[in-house]
Amino acid sequence: MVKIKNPRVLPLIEADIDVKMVGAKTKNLAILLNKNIPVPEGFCITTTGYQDFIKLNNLSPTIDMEIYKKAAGDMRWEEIWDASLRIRSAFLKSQIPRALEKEVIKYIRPYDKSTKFSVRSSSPLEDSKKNSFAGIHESYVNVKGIEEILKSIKLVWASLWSDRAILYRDEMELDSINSSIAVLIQVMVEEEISGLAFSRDPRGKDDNMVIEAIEGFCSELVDNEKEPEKWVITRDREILSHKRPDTYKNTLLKSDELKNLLDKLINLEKIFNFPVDVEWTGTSRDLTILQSRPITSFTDDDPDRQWYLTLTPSFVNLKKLADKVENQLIGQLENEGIKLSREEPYGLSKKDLALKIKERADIYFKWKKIYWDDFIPFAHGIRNFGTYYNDLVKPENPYEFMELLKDEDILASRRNKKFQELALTMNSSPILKVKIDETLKKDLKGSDLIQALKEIGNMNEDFSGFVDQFLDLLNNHLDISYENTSLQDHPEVILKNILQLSLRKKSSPSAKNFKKKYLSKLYQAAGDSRIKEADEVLRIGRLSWKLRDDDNILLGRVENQFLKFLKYGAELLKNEKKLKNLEKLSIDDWEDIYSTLITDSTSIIVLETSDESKTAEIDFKPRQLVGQPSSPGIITGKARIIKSFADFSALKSGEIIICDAIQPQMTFLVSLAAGIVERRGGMLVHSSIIAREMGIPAVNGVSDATELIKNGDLVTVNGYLGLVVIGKPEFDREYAN
Amino acid sequence: MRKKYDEPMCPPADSSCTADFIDVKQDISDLLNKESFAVLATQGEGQPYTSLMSFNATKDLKKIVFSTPQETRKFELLKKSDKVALMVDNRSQTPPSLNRISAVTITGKANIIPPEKAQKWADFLIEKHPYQKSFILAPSTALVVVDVYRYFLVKRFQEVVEWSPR
Repeated sequence: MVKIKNPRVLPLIEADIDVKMVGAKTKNLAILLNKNIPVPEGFCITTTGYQDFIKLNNLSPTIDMEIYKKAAGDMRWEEIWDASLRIRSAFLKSQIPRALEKEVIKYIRPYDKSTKFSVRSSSPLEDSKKNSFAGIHESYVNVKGIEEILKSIKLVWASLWSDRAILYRDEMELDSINSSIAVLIQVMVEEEISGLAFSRDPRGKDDNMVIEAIEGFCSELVDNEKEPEKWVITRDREILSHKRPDTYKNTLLKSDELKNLLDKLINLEKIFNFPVDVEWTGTSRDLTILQSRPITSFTDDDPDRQWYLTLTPSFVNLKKLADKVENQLIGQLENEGIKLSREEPYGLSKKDLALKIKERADIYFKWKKIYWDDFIPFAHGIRNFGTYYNDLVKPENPYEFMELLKDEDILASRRNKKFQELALTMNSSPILKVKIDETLKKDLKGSDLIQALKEIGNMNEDFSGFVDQFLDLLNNHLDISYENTSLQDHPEVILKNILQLSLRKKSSPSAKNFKKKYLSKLYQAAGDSRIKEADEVLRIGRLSWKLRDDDNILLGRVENQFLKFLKYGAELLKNEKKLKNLEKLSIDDWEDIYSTLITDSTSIIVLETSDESKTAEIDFKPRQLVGQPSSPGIITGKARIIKSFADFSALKSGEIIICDAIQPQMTFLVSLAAGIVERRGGMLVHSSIIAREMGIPAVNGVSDATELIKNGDLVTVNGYLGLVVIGKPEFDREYAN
Repeated sequence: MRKKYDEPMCPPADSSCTADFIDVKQDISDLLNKESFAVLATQGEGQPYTSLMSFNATKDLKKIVFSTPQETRKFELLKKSDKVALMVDNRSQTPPSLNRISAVTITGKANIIPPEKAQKWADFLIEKHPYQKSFILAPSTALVVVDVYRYFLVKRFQEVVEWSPR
């Protein structure tokens, strides 16, 4: 038989060749098939096939531009996700080489049209003894028909550039740009019982074997959708533990079936000469091996990596999470904030105050943990809808889907609307405006300012309307903290912002509403049979969109309520000369303050700023900085650096905000600005969304923006290309000589 | 890994500023040392004109030297206007990736060195381009030293910083 030198497609039986060509998953199964161990029949598209696809569509420059546009390590997870989305979008719109397509069709054609296939990634780097890559690249199951198979192939290829894969390679210090991927296509074999088997317990130190079985398909077990029946068995075949979930009346594996499975498992370990992790389906004679790979997880106990894999939950788990967040957590968090805001610290004994501080700290840190464990992973609902929409509609702009998620009823929008209303009221009454201006010039702060405002309110009905609205804004929308400062406690800053807002020309009307158009595009692409599914994905996406903003505001309130008691405690200690540098108070100081209060000790607390950010000495001038174009438009203006709450009041209408990150607590500042430059990058971050809605040009993902740009610098924000130009093009130095 | 996921309520500890900026002088110096040729821009009668030149740069990056036959168009132009620009880039040495190309645009004032002072500059140029010794030392060749005002360094396709050696 003549063998082709660089085959694009190979039957599985011939795929026991160089792992660089077929990937580890394929090679392992080919080895088993050649030893007459039953595995599902199939074929493989080699890495040469992938390379052909890349070459034909000239995708290398696209990948390169996305991955290397910033210095290594400067890209946030969300920016990497954005890069992946654009690469994926480019892959989906590209053509599979004709010759390759023909070969794939040749393999598929003999099967009945209703035959289901799995289309799996098979990476040359994955499943090696060093790098597990488990779950890093995509695999698709139950794929029917040539068109769907070809699409799934492209998606598997694109998953080489998924956020997960890029980060994983980065972490493992693997060469990213030259990486490649093979695809394994197999007929689906699904028996009634399936499961996992480990020839060595991946979590234990002993060499026990672990068997997990479920009624259903392996994928449900891998995605943690079903609880399995589980056995831990010694090498001498002694059952150490056996747990059966209540959902199963009878055991899923009888003793002879269990023995059969253990025999196979040990045989596989012998073949590979390494402990193995096996996916199987079927119980006795029909036992089929779906996958077999070396166990690597016993060295992998990095909790952060485990957490980060929760960021992309399966849709089933996302739905469960949506239910939990929507029907339990958000309501609880909101009530917690309201409950806490009803109590005041004044007049409490030191001991009682200490106990209250402790109680509030516990509540705050409990919610912060929930924020990481549930809220952040739930934000995946937005991205999940994005990929769903793009896969079906294949739009020119990969961010079109965002139009369908927009929601005007988020808490921050309600608050920002209040700001607008107050600015309008101010504009409608020139006398009021003069009064407010005069009051602000007296430099009154906090409760003194509130008192002065109330006096203005007593003058006439119009004024009192404004004052009432302002107080409502403070108490119901600004009971939040920003960098350890309570916004509520600083009416002078908020009032200055409103005054500046009233000077701002009416901002351009927000972008046209494309909701209807895109929704019908989505329905059309989904077809009648999938409309229900599309609606569900969209519903979760919208919920995720709304909550990812609201959760910050609600948690901000709990934080502010914690801070209120903490600050009062700190003030008490200061008056007793037991605390220095009160102005540097931060939440992290709570334990010191708590213990000094509760023990009434005489020790003195000296507060320090934990991380004094140094202003770097630079001997160069930045002329043009690069980021992401997060809101279109181009504008030139004076730079205003916003690093802390103290900078809020300095912002003048029409300036360009330069900041580390626009947080949900401060999005009202955006309506004052002519443009935004931000270090935190991402198309879906809060500032991008608001800036787009208001038609304000914005660039984000600009590394060290607040250090490189100075207050008052002339800055041009190019929201089309993601560029920030600093200063005018001049030849002053050249002319001077 | 969480560092990569700095969310509103939980910014990473080091988000403020790393103060770990690129060493611009070093970057420019590396580029000038690795590259042999520069594009020289001269001007006259409102017409810009470019030429490819062998060059060498002093360690402090204050001066760049090149040589040219005196009968050339560029030399004529230099005599009329001493304001020049040069460009050096590494596109020939990198894989075809816009993000990995660096380029530097240099502005400065060109000084034509009189023959009696030319020897030390000729030696300096020959140090980098020994194969051009006879060309550089020919009586018909002039040495030109540019006093550099500014460097405009472009990295990663569009990132531009300005640095001055004086």
